[in-house]
Order: sequence, then C-alpha cells, then structure tokens
Amino acid sequence: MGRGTATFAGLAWSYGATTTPAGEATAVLEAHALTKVYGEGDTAVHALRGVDMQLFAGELVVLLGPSGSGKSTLLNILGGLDVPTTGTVRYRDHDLTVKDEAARTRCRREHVGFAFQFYNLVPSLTARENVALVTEVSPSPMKPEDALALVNLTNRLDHFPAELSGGEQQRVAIARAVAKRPDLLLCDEPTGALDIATGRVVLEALRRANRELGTTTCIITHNQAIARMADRVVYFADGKVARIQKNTEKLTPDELQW
Amino acid sequence: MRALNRKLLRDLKHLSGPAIAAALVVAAGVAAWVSLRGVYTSLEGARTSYFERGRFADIVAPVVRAPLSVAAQAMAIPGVEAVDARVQAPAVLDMPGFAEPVRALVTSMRDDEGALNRVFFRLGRAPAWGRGDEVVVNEAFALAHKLKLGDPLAATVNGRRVCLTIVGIGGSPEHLYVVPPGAIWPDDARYAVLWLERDAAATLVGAEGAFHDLAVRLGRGVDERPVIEALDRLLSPYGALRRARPVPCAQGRRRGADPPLPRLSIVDPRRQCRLPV
Repeated sequence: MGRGTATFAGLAWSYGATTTPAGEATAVLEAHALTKVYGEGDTAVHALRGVDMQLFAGELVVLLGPSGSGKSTLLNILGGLDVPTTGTVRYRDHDLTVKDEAARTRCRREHVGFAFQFYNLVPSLTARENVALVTEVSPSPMKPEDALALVNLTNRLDHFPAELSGGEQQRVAIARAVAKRPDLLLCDEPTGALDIATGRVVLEALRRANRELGTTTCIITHNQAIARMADRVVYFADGKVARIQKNTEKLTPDELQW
Repeated sequence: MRALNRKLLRDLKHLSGPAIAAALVVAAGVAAWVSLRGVYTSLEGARTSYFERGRFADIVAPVVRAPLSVAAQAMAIPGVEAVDARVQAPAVLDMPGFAEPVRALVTSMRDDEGALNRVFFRLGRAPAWGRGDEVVVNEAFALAHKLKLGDPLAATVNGRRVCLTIVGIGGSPEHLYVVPPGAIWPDDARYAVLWLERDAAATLVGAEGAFHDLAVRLGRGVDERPVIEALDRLLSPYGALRRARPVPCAQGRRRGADPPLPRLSIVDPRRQCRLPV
C-alpha cells in the first residue's frame, strides 16, 4: 500500500509500501559494507568493521549490543547524521552517504525522526511548543496535539520540561520525532535513563507510532528484554552484526520484564 | 507566534537582569562615544579656528641669513599666498632675584593683517614701529616671574646689552608650548620668547635687509611638496639649515574643511633651538 511520494535533491521516489506485489517485504534502507574509523595510524579506532544491514518498511527492529560495540555510530550513519569511512547506505533509491551536508539535512528533515537517551527538549518551551518546533518546518506534519496524544500526553500539553517526569519528557521527545510523520524512526537508548515502569510507557509510545503510523522503527539498546517486542533483533558486537533473529512472537511492552 | 520566537522572548525574560545590565553598558558606551566624539569635534574645530585666526604658516624655512629680496622671490612661487621673513637671535636675560641664567629667543613680529603666526595679546599691545626698547613676552614666562606691563627687562642680544620695556604679554600659534633648546619639557622660568617690532629687531640683531627664517602660507588646497622643493632651491645658497618643512598642524587647512588630526598640535620645539650662525 503506497502512502505517497516525496522528492529529495531533485529525485522522486514512492515510499510506504510494506510488501512487493509478490508479498515479499521491501527493504527501505540498506547498508552495505559499512566501516567507520576514527583517527588514524596506531591510534585509529574502528567503530564499524563492515556492517551489512537492511530495514524493511513498517517493521520494528531492535539493535542489541554492549556499550562500545558501535551501535550509536551505526545509528548516526543510518540516519544521515554522519557518513561512513567506506560502504554505502541507501534509503529507498537515494544515497545517504553523500558528502553534501545540506542534502542530508533535507533528507533527515523530511524522512527521519530521532529520539535519544537524553531528551534534548528546549526548557523554555512547553511540550506542545517543543513538538511545534518540528511541525513548523516539516512538509506534512501532524498537529502537535495529535502527536502528544499518540504518546498519551494530552493532559500535559502546556507543561514545561521541568514540570514533567523523565518518562514524560522522553515521550515528548518521541512525539516530536513522530510529529513530522517520518518514514524512519531511530531511537538511541530511549529507555536508558528511565526505570522499568516508565520505560514500558515509553516503549508503548514507540510501539503505537510504529503500528499506527507504519513508521519503520529501529531501537538501539543494550537491554536484552526489549528485544522481545521487536519484529527482528540485530545482535551487534565489536563493530559488526553478529547475528539476526526474527521473533515469531512479539511481546507488548507491558509483558516485558527486566 | 512561532515556537522559536516564543523561546527567544521567554529566554530574554529569564535573562532580563543580565540583559538590562548589558543594555545599560552598551548605552553607556554609546553615550560616552557620542560625548567624546562631540568633544573631539569641538576641540578640532577650536584648534583649526585658532590657527586660522593666527594665520599659522604652512611651511617654515630657516636659513643662516638671506636678503629680503629672496622673500619676494619666494612670494612668486606658485601656490604661495603669503610669506613672512623673520629675524631671530638668542638672548640672555638678567632677572632680578633670579640667580640662574635665563635664556630667550628674540624674534621679530608684524602687527598687520598680513602677518603670519600672529601674536595674540593677553595684555598690552604690540611694540610701536621703530621702538627697539619695547617688547612682548610670552605669557608663561611672565607668569613665572610675575611680570606685568611696564616692567623693565635687561637683555644681552648679539653682544649688546639692551634695556627693554614690556608693553605686551601674549603668545602665538608658533609658541604654544615653549621648550628651551636641548630640553624636552617647558622651563618657563628659564626660557622666554621675546617679540620685537620687525625693523627694531633687525637693527638689534644686525640683520637689516635680511632674514633668518621664512614662514610661508599656502593657498587652500595647494600641494606643499612642489613649493618645498622650490623653496629649497631658492634658499640653498643662503645656508638653508635644513630642508623647508611643512608645519604639521597647518596641513589640514590646505586640504579643505575637514582636516585630519595633525601629528603634533604644536610647532616642533626644535625649531626654536635654531640660532643664526
């Protein structure tokens, strides 16, 4: 089922199809042979050592791995925040490894949402206004109130971040990420700073965004329990994909235990 | 209102104390700049006006001794508006009750509209024509010795002891800041400038029909360089002590209504050190 068309850097492509006519899942994002090296010579740090990965339309993927394994580096490259040392990343029919920073910025603005462990909310703006920061510059956003309703924050629209709990702040950050109706939602340790109960609420917000908006979602975490709510789990170690596991049965966030 | 504008307004509200302090600092800076600029402009205008009223010379050309006819030739140089051929000599003064020697520069003066480096009188008048015993002294020296009009002044000039009478106390644009030869600070008690009537001064220093120093005033906007070159050619047979040179503070007048700051606001004090040989 197609959801529309988008243009980027003079190119046009269709997006939103979750399956091919033959019923096979469609890869919306493909990474091939990615490496990322910081520094050079004896002090060089190899954060990524040849990553091949695909994200399919509408799926929820958990990228699992220990601290320092290169997960955040991979997420930054998949989202167009950074470029790999070698390798390619293609979103639909567009190359995300181009050096043109402005082109990557436009791509992020129109198609990618981010949520980080630390919420990065503007302290002097309310929840509604923090979400409006994004909707005011997006081509076809949802209303800030609708985005906040999606994460069950209808009753906190006009509260400032200092008046919200950590979980609520993270949900505002997620609402801000999904308010522009991104095709791809990338979350880096979204529950890392939260307790179990609050973490479940945040994960439920991500699950709703994934299910109700059809947003391809990738969650980075080192929390094994979260893997059970994913369609697929990508195990990451030492800068490489160690293995990929497909869950035949997904749990809801309420059913997760850690 | 857009969210970013709201953010800006709220952040400004939270920072109102520092913002007001910063605004006050900027306002104080602007006010100080405006007032200092006004003072500067006013002082600059006053200086220009003072030099204009005193007909301050643009160029000075010291020589050992040159006949007055040469001054007439200098007047014929294109761009020259006026010349003043002065005689000058060193003198030693006897100041009653003052043990140390007092030196002075005797210089001629004109008291007509065409005079250059005109003397301004704080008190008294100019020496009468032909009166070699009447003298005008610079104000700082008069104050240092509490001199007043009518006081006698004994001086040795060119080997002759003369008794002068003070008929005027004043100054000129050329001698605003009087520094003795070899010194870097004024010494008002030990060094004086004495103005005598032109002919009387020439007789006193033995320079009738001659001059020691040529002051030159140029027309507005005239380039000084070709005039200086012409003066150097003209005066070199007469022992030009050094190249004719522009007077720094007078340069602005020649360039029009908005003169730049001069390098010096006084006449080069070394100029007073030069003595006819």
